[in-house]
Amino acid sequence: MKSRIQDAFEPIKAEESLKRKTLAKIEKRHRPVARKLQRRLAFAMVMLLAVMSFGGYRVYNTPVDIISIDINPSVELNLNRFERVISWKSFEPQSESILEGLSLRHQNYEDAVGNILKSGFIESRGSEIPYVHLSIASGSERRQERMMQTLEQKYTADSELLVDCSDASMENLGEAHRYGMSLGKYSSFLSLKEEGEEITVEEVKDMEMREIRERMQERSGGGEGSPQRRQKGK
Amino acid sequence: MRSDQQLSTAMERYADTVRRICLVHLKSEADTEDIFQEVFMKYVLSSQEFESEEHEKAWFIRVSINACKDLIKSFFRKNVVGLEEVMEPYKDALNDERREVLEALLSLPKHYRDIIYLHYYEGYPATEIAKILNKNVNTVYTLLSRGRESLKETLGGEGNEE
Repeated sequence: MKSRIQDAFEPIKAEESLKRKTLAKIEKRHRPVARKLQRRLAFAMVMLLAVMSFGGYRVYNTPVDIISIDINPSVELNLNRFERVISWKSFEPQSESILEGLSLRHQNYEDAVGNILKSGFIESRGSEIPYVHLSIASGSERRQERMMQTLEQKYTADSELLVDCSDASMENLGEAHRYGMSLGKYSSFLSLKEEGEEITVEEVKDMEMREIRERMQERSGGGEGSPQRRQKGK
Repeated sequence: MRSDQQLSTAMERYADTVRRICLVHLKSEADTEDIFQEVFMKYVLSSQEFESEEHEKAWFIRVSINACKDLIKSFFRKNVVGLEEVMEPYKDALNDERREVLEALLSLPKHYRDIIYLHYYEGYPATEIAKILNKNVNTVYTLLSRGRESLKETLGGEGNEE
Protein backbone atom coordinates (compact mmCIF):
# COMPACT_ATOMS: atom_id res chain seq x y z
CA MET A 1 0.00 0.00 0.00
CA LYS A 2 2.73 2.41 1.06
CA SER A 3 4.81 2.01 -2.09
CA ARG A 4 1.74 2.32 -4.34
CA ILE A 5 0.65 5.56 -2.64
CA GLN A 6 4.17 6.96 -2.71
CA ASP A 7 4.52 6.13 -6.37
CA ALA A 8 1.12 7.64 -7.18
CA PHE A 9 1.96 10.99 -5.51
CA GLU A 10 5.49 11.17 -6.87
CA PRO A 11 4.64 13.10 -10.06
CA ILE A 12 2.43 15.58 -8.17
CA LYS A 13 4.61 18.65 -7.88
CA ALA A 14 3.90 22.35 -7.77
CA GLU A 15 4.09 23.72 -11.28
CA GLU A 16 6.74 26.40 -11.83
CA SER A 17 4.02 28.71 -13.14
CA LEU A 18 2.07 28.28 -9.87
CA LYS A 19 5.16 29.15 -7.82
CA ARG A 20 5.93 32.20 -9.94
CA LYS A 21 2.34 33.42 -9.83
CA THR A 22 2.23 33.00 -6.03
CA LEU A 23 5.49 34.88 -5.51
CA ALA A 24 4.33 37.70 -7.79
CA LYS A 25 0.97 38.05 -6.03
CA ILE A 26 2.53 38.05 -2.58
CA GLU A 27 4.93 40.74 -3.71
CA LYS A 28 2.01 42.77 -5.04
CA ARG A 29 -0.11 42.35 -1.92
CA HIS A 30 2.74 43.22 0.43
CA ARG A 31 3.05 46.77 -0.63
CA PRO A 32 -0.50 48.04 -0.18
CA VAL A 33 -0.52 46.45 3.29
CA ALA A 34 2.69 48.24 4.16
CA ARG A 35 1.30 51.57 2.94
CA LYS A 36 -1.94 51.09 4.85
CA LEU A 37 -0.04 50.30 8.01
CA GLN A 38 2.13 53.31 7.45
CA ARG A 39 -0.92 55.59 7.34
CA ARG A 40 -2.66 54.01 10.30
CA LEU A 41 0.41 53.79 12.45
CA ALA A 42 1.98 57.01 11.30
CA PHE A 43 3.50 57.90 14.62
CA ALA A 44 4.87 54.43 15.19
CA MET A 45 6.32 54.33 11.70
CA VAL A 46 7.97 57.72 12.07
CA MET A 47 9.55 56.50 15.26
CA LEU A 48 10.60 53.30 13.54
CA LEU A 49 12.05 55.16 10.58
CA ALA A 50 13.92 57.46 12.93
CA VAL A 51 15.35 54.45 14.70
CA MET A 52 16.21 52.85 11.37
CA SER A 53 17.91 55.99 10.14
CA PHE A 54 20.29 55.71 13.07
CA GLY A 55 21.11 52.18 12.13
CA GLY A 56 18.68 50.96 14.75
CA TYR A 57 16.92 48.38 12.64
CA ARG A 58 19.25 45.73 13.94
CA VAL A 59 18.79 47.00 17.48
CA TYR A 60 15.02 46.81 17.13
CA ASN A 61 15.19 43.23 15.94
CA THR A 62 17.69 41.98 18.49
CA PRO A 63 16.10 40.02 21.34
CA VAL A 64 17.41 41.04 24.76
CA ASP A 65 14.65 39.83 27.12
CA ILE A 66 12.48 36.74 27.30
CA ILE A 67 9.18 36.24 29.03
CA SER A 68 8.32 32.57 29.37
CA ILE A 69 4.62 31.99 29.93
CA ASP A 70 4.01 28.49 31.24
CA ILE A 71 0.58 27.16 31.79
CA ASN A 72 0.74 23.99 29.77
CA PRO A 73 0.98 24.98 27.04
CA SER A 74 4.12 27.15 27.10
CA VAL A 75 5.21 30.07 24.99
CA GLU A 76 8.27 32.32 25.06
CA LEU A 77 8.10 35.95 23.99
CA ASN A 78 11.35 37.40 22.68
CA LEU A 79 11.52 41.13 23.44
CA ASN A 80 13.78 43.83 22.11
CA ARG A 81 15.25 46.57 24.28
CA PHE A 82 12.11 48.62 23.74
CA GLU A 83 10.19 45.84 25.51
CA ARG A 84 8.28 44.91 22.39
CA VAL A 85 7.70 41.43 21.04
CA ILE A 86 9.83 40.67 18.00
CA SER A 87 9.15 36.93 17.85
CA TRP A 88 7.67 34.11 19.85
CA LYS A 89 8.24 30.42 20.26
CA SER A 90 5.52 27.93 21.00
CA PHE A 91 6.25 24.53 22.50
CA GLU A 92 2.99 22.83 21.53
CA PRO A 93 1.84 22.79 17.88
CA GLN A 94 -1.80 22.97 19.01
CA SER A 95 -1.24 26.48 20.43
CA GLU A 96 0.37 27.93 17.34
CA SER A 97 -2.84 28.81 15.53
CA ILE A 98 -4.15 30.67 18.63
CA LEU A 99 -0.90 32.61 18.97
CA GLU A 100 -0.80 33.35 15.23
CA GLY A 101 -4.21 34.99 15.58
CA LEU A 102 -3.02 37.38 18.32
CA SER A 103 -0.58 39.32 16.09
CA LEU A 104 1.89 39.51 18.95
CA ARG A 105 4.75 41.04 16.96
CA HIS A 106 5.48 44.67 17.91
CA GLN A 107 3.16 44.53 20.92
CA ASN A 108 4.39 45.89 24.23
CA TYR A 109 5.15 43.00 26.64
CA GLU A 110 2.28 43.94 28.98
CA ASP A 111 -0.23 43.88 26.13
CA ALA A 112 1.21 40.67 24.69
CA VAL A 113 1.05 38.82 28.03
CA GLY A 114 -2.45 40.20 28.66
CA ASN A 115 -3.66 39.13 25.21
CA ILE A 116 -2.27 35.62 25.65
CA LEU A 117 -3.84 35.21 29.09
CA LYS A 118 -7.20 36.40 27.74
CA SER A 119 -7.07 34.13 24.67
CA GLY A 120 -7.95 30.47 24.23
CA PHE A 121 -4.32 29.72 25.08
CA ILE A 122 -5.49 28.85 28.59
CA GLU A 123 -7.62 25.77 28.48
CA SER A 124 -10.68 25.80 30.69
CA ARG A 125 -10.44 23.21 33.45
CA GLY A 126 -13.87 23.36 34.98
CA SER A 127 -14.04 25.30 38.21
CA GLU A 128 -10.27 25.19 38.82
CA ILE A 129 -8.56 28.58 38.59
CA PRO A 130 -5.92 28.36 35.84
CA TYR A 131 -2.32 28.52 37.06
CA VAL A 132 0.18 30.63 35.13
CA HIS A 133 3.91 30.87 35.71
CA LEU A 134 5.68 33.90 34.27
CA SER A 135 9.49 33.82 34.09
CA ILE A 136 11.48 36.84 33.03
CA ALA A 137 15.05 36.67 31.77
CA SER A 138 16.84 39.83 30.75
CA GLY A 139 20.19 41.20 29.84
CA SER A 140 19.49 44.07 32.23
CA GLU A 141 18.76 43.53 35.92
CA ARG A 142 16.92 46.85 36.14
CA ARG A 143 14.65 46.02 33.26
CA GLN A 144 14.05 42.53 34.59
CA GLU A 145 13.11 43.92 38.02
CA ARG A 146 10.79 46.51 36.52
CA MET A 147 9.02 44.02 34.25
CA MET A 148 8.56 41.58 37.12
CA GLN A 149 7.09 44.30 39.35
CA THR A 150 4.76 45.45 36.60
CA LEU A 151 3.46 41.96 35.86
CA GLU A 152 3.12 41.07 39.56
CA GLN A 153 1.15 44.24 40.26
CA LYS A 154 -1.02 43.75 37.22
CA TYR A 155 -2.09 40.24 38.14
CA THR A 156 -2.23 40.55 41.96
CA ALA A 157 -5.86 41.55 41.85
CA ASP A 158 -6.82 39.00 39.20
CA SER A 159 -9.33 36.62 40.70
CA GLU A 160 -9.55 34.45 37.61
CA LEU A 161 -5.91 33.42 37.44
CA LEU A 162 -3.33 32.09 39.85
CA VAL A 163 -0.09 33.75 38.77
CA ASP A 164 3.50 33.32 39.94
CA CYS A 165 6.37 35.44 38.68
CA SER A 166 10.02 34.51 38.87
CA ASP A 167 13.30 35.56 37.35
CA ALA A 168 15.23 33.26 35.05
CA SER A 169 18.69 33.20 33.57
CA MET A 170 19.43 33.58 29.87
CA GLU A 171 22.29 31.12 30.38
CA ASN A 172 19.80 28.27 30.68
CA LEU A 173 17.99 29.08 27.46
CA GLY A 174 20.05 26.87 25.12
CA GLU A 175 19.82 23.89 27.43
CA ALA A 176 16.06 24.37 27.92
CA HIS A 177 15.51 24.35 24.15
CA ARG A 178 17.72 21.31 23.70
CA TYR A 179 15.30 19.47 25.99
CA GLY A 180 12.33 20.89 24.07
CA MET A 181 11.22 22.94 27.08
CA SER A 182 10.53 26.59 27.65
CA LEU A 183 13.00 28.60 29.72
CA GLY A 184 10.40 28.98 32.49
CA LYS A 185 9.64 25.29 32.80
CA TYR A 186 13.30 24.31 32.64
CA SER A 187 14.15 26.91 35.32
CA SER A 188 11.42 25.42 37.51
CA PHE A 189 13.05 22.02 37.02
CA LEU A 190 16.42 23.46 38.14
CA SER A 191 14.76 25.05 41.19
CA LEU A 192 13.19 21.72 42.14
CA LYS A 193 16.56 20.00 41.80
CA GLU A 194 18.15 22.68 43.96
CA GLU A 195 15.53 22.03 46.61
CA GLY A 196 16.69 18.40 46.66
CA GLU A 197 13.90 16.83 44.64
CA GLU A 198 15.04 13.71 42.81
CA ILE A 199 13.48 14.27 39.46
CA THR A 200 14.60 14.02 35.86
CA VAL A 201 14.15 16.54 33.13
CA GLU A 202 11.99 14.03 31.18
CA GLU A 203 9.63 13.73 34.15
CA VAL A 204 9.30 17.50 34.45
CA LYS A 205 8.70 17.82 30.72
CA ASP A 206 5.49 15.80 31.05
CA MET A 207 4.33 17.54 34.23
CA GLU A 208 1.86 20.40 34.37
CA MET A 209 3.11 23.66 35.88
CA ARG A 210 0.57 23.32 38.69
CA GLU A 211 2.13 19.98 39.69
CA ILE A 212 5.62 21.50 39.63
CA ARG A 213 4.38 24.33 41.85
CA GLU A 214 2.89 21.86 44.32
CA ARG A 215 6.14 19.87 44.45
CA MET A 216 8.02 23.10 45.08
CA GLN A 217 5.65 24.04 47.88
CA GLU A 218 6.02 20.61 49.47
CA ARG A 219 9.80 20.92 49.31
CA SER A 220 9.92 24.41 50.75
CA GLY A 221 7.30 23.52 53.37
CA GLY A 222 5.02 26.34 52.23
CA GLY A 223 1.24 26.21 52.12
CA GLU A 224 -0.99 27.24 49.29
CA GLY A 225 -0.16 30.86 50.02
CA SER A 226 -1.30 33.83 48.06
CA PRO A 227 -1.75 33.47 44.33
CA GLN A 228 1.04 35.87 43.43
CA ARG A 229 4.20 34.71 45.06
CA ARG A 230 7.63 35.50 43.86
CA GLN A 231 10.14 32.72 43.71
CA LYS A 232 13.80 33.06 43.18
CA GLY A 233 14.44 31.25 39.92
CA LYS A 234 17.65 30.09 38.37
CA MET B 1 7.97 39.86 8.29
CA ARG B 2 10.11 37.33 6.46
CA SER B 3 12.49 38.29 3.66
CA ASP B 4 12.18 37.47 -0.04
CA GLN B 5 15.04 35.04 0.36
CA GLN B 6 13.24 33.16 3.15
CA LEU B 7 10.08 33.05 1.03
CA SER B 8 11.94 31.65 -1.99
CA THR B 9 13.61 28.99 0.13
CA ALA B 10 10.29 27.97 1.69
CA MET B 11 8.69 27.85 -1.77
CA GLU B 12 11.40 25.50 -3.01
CA ARG B 13 11.14 23.29 0.06
CA TYR B 14 7.40 23.06 0.63
CA ALA B 15 5.57 23.97 -2.58
CA ASP B 16 5.28 20.32 -3.64
CA THR B 17 3.86 19.33 -0.25
CA VAL B 18 1.30 22.15 -0.35
CA ARG B 19 0.41 21.16 -3.92
CA ARG B 20 -0.24 17.54 -2.90
CA ILE B 21 -2.41 18.64 0.02
CA CYS B 22 -4.39 20.81 -2.40
CA LEU B 23 -4.85 17.81 -4.66
CA VAL B 24 -6.10 15.76 -1.72
CA HIS B 25 -8.73 18.40 -0.85
CA LEU B 26 -9.55 20.59 -3.80
CA LYS B 27 -11.08 20.08 -7.18
CA SER B 28 -10.26 23.38 -8.79
CA GLU B 29 -7.07 24.91 -10.12
CA ALA B 30 -8.20 28.40 -9.08
CA ASP B 31 -8.76 27.20 -5.51
CA THR B 32 -5.24 25.75 -5.50
CA GLU B 33 -3.84 29.13 -6.52
CA ASP B 34 -5.78 30.81 -3.69
CA ILE B 35 -4.49 28.32 -1.15
CA PHE B 36 -0.91 28.80 -2.33
CA GLN B 37 -1.20 32.54 -1.88
CA GLU B 38 -2.84 32.24 1.51
CA VAL B 39 -0.35 29.73 2.90
CA PHE B 40 2.79 31.48 1.71
CA MET B 41 1.41 34.92 2.64
CA LYS B 42 0.78 33.63 6.17
CA TYR B 43 4.35 32.38 6.24
CA VAL B 44 5.69 35.78 5.19
CA LEU B 45 3.66 37.60 7.84
CA SER B 46 4.24 35.08 10.62
CA SER B 47 6.81 35.94 13.26
CA GLN B 48 6.97 32.43 14.62
CA GLU B 49 10.38 30.84 15.06
CA PHE B 50 10.93 27.31 13.79
CA GLU B 51 13.37 25.13 15.63
CA SER B 52 13.99 22.78 12.69
CA GLU B 53 13.04 22.08 9.10
CA GLU B 54 10.66 19.34 10.32
CA HIS B 55 8.89 21.84 12.58
CA GLU B 56 8.57 24.26 9.69
CA LYS B 57 7.26 21.54 7.37
CA ALA B 58 4.65 20.47 9.96
CA TRP B 59 3.55 24.14 10.14
CA PHE B 60 3.10 24.26 6.36
CA ILE B 61 1.12 21.02 6.39
CA ARG B 62 -1.17 22.18 9.19
CA VAL B 63 -1.75 25.64 7.71
CA SER B 64 -2.40 24.17 4.23
CA ILE B 65 -4.92 21.61 5.51
CA ASN B 66 -6.73 24.24 7.57
CA ALA B 67 -6.80 26.67 4.63
CA CYS B 68 -8.24 23.96 2.34
CA LYS B 69 -10.90 23.06 4.90
CA ASP B 70 -11.84 26.71 5.41
CA LEU B 71 -12.11 27.24 1.66
CA ILE B 72 -14.31 24.19 1.22
CA LYS B 73 -16.64 25.57 3.91
CA SER B 74 -16.73 29.04 2.34
CA PHE B 75 -18.96 30.36 -0.43
CA PHE B 76 -16.04 31.47 -2.54
CA ARG B 77 -15.07 28.20 -4.14
CA LYS B 78 -14.26 28.38 -7.79
CA ASN B 79 -15.58 25.97 -10.41
CA VAL B 80 -15.45 22.47 -9.00
CA VAL B 81 -14.49 19.87 -11.58
CA GLY B 82 -14.29 16.08 -11.70
CA LEU B 83 -11.35 13.88 -10.75
CA GLU B 84 -10.27 13.59 -14.39
CA GLU B 85 -9.79 17.33 -14.66
CA VAL B 86 -8.06 17.52 -11.28
CA MET B 87 -5.41 15.15 -12.56
CA GLU B 88 -5.23 16.70 -16.01
CA PRO B 89 -2.00 18.68 -15.39
CA TYR B 90 -0.24 15.41 -14.54
CA LYS B 91 -1.79 13.19 -17.20
CA ASP B 92 1.53 12.45 -18.91
CA ALA B 93 3.13 11.27 -15.68
CA LEU B 94 0.15 9.28 -14.42
CA ASN B 95 0.01 5.74 -15.69
CA ASP B 96 -3.05 3.57 -15.04
CA GLU B 97 -1.73 2.27 -11.73
CA ARG B 98 -1.01 5.75 -10.34
CA ARG B 99 -4.31 7.08 -11.62
CA GLU B 100 -6.19 4.20 -9.99
CA VAL B 101 -4.49 4.76 -6.62
CA LEU B 102 -5.07 8.51 -6.67
CA GLU B 103 -8.69 8.14 -7.70
CA ALA B 104 -9.25 5.63 -4.90
CA LEU B 105 -7.64 7.96 -2.36
CA LEU B 106 -9.46 11.07 -3.55
CA SER B 107 -12.76 9.20 -3.42
CA LEU B 108 -12.31 8.38 0.27
CA PRO B 109 -14.33 10.39 2.83
CA LYS B 110 -12.40 13.60 3.48
CA HIS B 111 -11.47 12.80 7.10
CA TYR B 112 -9.49 9.74 5.92
CA ARG B 113 -7.62 11.45 3.12
CA ASP B 114 -5.24 13.65 5.13
CA ILE B 115 -4.35 10.85 7.47
CA ILE B 116 -3.69 8.35 4.68
CA TYR B 117 -1.61 10.93 2.82
CA LEU B 118 0.41 12.00 5.87
CA HIS B 119 1.06 8.43 6.95
CA TYR B 120 1.78 6.72 3.65
CA TYR B 121 3.35 9.50 1.63
CA GLU B 122 4.93 11.84 4.18
CA GLY B 123 5.78 8.94 6.51
CA TYR B 124 4.44 10.47 9.73
CA PRO B 125 3.53 8.08 12.57
CA ALA B 126 0.06 8.36 14.12
CA THR B 127 1.38 10.32 17.12
CA GLU B 128 2.84 13.03 14.87
CA ILE B 129 -0.30 13.14 12.74
CA ALA B 130 -2.35 13.64 15.91
CA LYS B 131 -0.20 16.66 16.79
CA ILE B 132 -0.34 18.16 13.31
CA LEU B 133 -4.11 17.73 12.96
CA ASN B 134 -4.82 18.45 16.62
CA LYS B 135 -6.68 15.17 17.00
CA ASN B 136 -6.67 12.47 19.61
CA VAL B 137 -4.08 9.82 18.74
CA ASN B 138 -6.63 6.99 19.12
CA THR B 139 -8.89 8.76 16.65
CA VAL B 140 -5.98 8.89 14.20
CA TYR B 141 -5.35 5.15 14.61
CA THR B 142 -9.04 4.44 13.99
CA LEU B 143 -9.26 6.68 10.91
CA LEU B 144 -6.02 5.24 9.55
CA SER B 145 -7.27 1.70 9.95
CA ARG B 146 -10.67 2.45 8.37
CA GLY B 147 -9.11 4.43 5.52
CA ARG B 148 -6.69 1.59 4.84
CA GLU B 149 -9.52 -0.96 4.79
CA SER B 150 -11.52 1.21 2.46
CA LEU B 151 -8.56 1.59 0.08
CA LYS B 152 -7.93 -2.14 0.13
CA GLU B 153 -11.50 -2.76 -0.86
CA THR B 154 -11.16 -0.45 -3.84
CA LEU B 155 -7.65 -1.34 -4.91
CA GLY B 156 -7.64 -5.00 -4.02
CA GLY B 157 -6.31 -6.82 -0.95
CA GLU B 158 -2.72 -6.35 -0.04
CA GLY B 159 -2.44 -8.46 3.09
CA ASN B 160 -1.17 -6.53 6.07
CA GLU B 161 1.31 -4.46 4.16
CA GLU B 162 1.86 -1.09 5.82
